[in-house]
Amino acid sequence: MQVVLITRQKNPFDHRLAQAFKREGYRVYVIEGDCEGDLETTRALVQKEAGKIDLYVDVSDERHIADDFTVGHGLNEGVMRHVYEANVLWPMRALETFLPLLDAGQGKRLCFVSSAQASINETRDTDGYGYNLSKAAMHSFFQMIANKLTPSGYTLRIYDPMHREIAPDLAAEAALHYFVRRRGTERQNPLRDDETRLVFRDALGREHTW
Amino acid sequence: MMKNVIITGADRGLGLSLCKEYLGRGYRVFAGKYLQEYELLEALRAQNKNLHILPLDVANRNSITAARETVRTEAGGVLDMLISNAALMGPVNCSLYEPPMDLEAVWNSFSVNAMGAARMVELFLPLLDKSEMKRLCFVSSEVSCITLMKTSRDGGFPYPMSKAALNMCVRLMHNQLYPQGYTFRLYHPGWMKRVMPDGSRGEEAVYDPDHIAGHAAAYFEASLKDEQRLVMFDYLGQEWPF
Ligand SMILES: NC(=O)c1ccc[n+]([C@@H]2O[C@H](COP(=O)([O-])OP(=O)(O)OC[C@H]3O[C@@H](n4cnc5c(N)ncnc54)[C@H](OP(=O)(O)O)[C@@H]3O)[C@@H](O)[C@H]2O)c1
Repeated sequence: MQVVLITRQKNPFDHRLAQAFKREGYRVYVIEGDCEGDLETTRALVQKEAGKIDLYVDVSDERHIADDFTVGHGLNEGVMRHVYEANVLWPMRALETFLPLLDAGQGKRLCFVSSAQASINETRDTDGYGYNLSKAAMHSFFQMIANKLTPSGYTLRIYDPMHREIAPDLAAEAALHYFVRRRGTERQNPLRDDETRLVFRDALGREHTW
Repeated sequence: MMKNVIITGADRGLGLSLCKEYLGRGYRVFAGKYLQEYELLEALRAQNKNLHILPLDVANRNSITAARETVRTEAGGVLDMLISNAALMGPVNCSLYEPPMDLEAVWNSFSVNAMGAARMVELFLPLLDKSEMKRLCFVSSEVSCITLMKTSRDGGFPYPMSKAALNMCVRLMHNQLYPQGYTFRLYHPGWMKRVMPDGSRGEEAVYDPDHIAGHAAAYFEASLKDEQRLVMFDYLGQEWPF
């Protein structure tokens, strides 16, 4: 049985995604978003019951109501630290913790939630220093871990579920499909494989630049 | 009228070389001093009284505020150009397969390399607002470029992550401040030799910071036709994607 771990479940999309995986017959483990959770406890549980993880889905997507300052109005450094811890430091620690279980699995797929709002090319924001900077840092991290892990068979999905823009059901079904399928090998040319390119896609299938 | 520029992380390396460049171009230069063991700025000051040395830690708001008050007094309340060059680059233990990753290092890089630039702009904005030039310059790096990053830099995640965050930070500032008359430079200086306390150069790397500073200073100072575009530009005159 394929094993999926969803970390930091919090938004409606996250819950729908877990349901969709269950419906498709996956064994689903979840770390709730509001309990920062003892990573080691979850790791030990998954190790004991399943011995592996095939699909890793980190839905961490912390936003803060007070993250609406501009540089002209003054930075709220407390908010920036809070958001950075939630969107960067926790996900790095979590990935490090579960990597041995992923190494033991067959799937070796890492999925992360982000937002096109945090594309350096595309954003029109003048605020959101906490959120946008944290996600830009993570995009750099994703590219580096992709370079590190793809030679050992890992593949990545970076996904914008378009929270509050489209129905969570739709976003979750699109995510399920996108997270589990294999992406882009040309039938005529099996040597050309788009899986080795890191792609950032949203719930409507649009690719975004970094 | 003499123009005023402030340069962070100016003890050595590119920051120090930029100080020399702008003194040569007739600017009043405010050099942010961070390292106690380097006295190259003092040697430069002995030759040119238009150099003002300020203690400056870009991770510390009080330090930046104190520096701003000195600049306000010495520069008649007007700052024309801000060059955010200071960076934390040292080796860190942040390898995925050698737990635990040093996450405090990830935070510190972010706090200096990305937030440091934002703090500088925030706190110097009242002086920059009074200038016609309103030029904001940021030294980034090729490793900030997510699209072209081809290595894992295993163990060295914090620095590229912080520089990608810096680019985003500059984008948010550009979105807000370009319409208010500010102009932006985002620069990758190439692989530069390390400068030792006696001014000699390390063996590693390709370019001398003095050479790069000549190019960077000209680019930072020039008026461009397409100021509305935010681009990362390098020492060879090439543009980088984000
Ligand atoms: N050297 C390269 O090949 C290269 C390549 C691409 C981009 N860059 C960028 O170019 C810029 C200059 O590089 P460089 O080679 O001239 O580096 P450098 O010689 O290390 O100069 C950077 C200076 O900033 C200082 N600094 C660190 N934390 C600070 C803080 N909190 N407040 C103020 N200053 C602080 C550093 O001090 P400490 O030594 O104590 O940290 C150092 O003196 C940096 O932004 C760097 O990221 C360099």
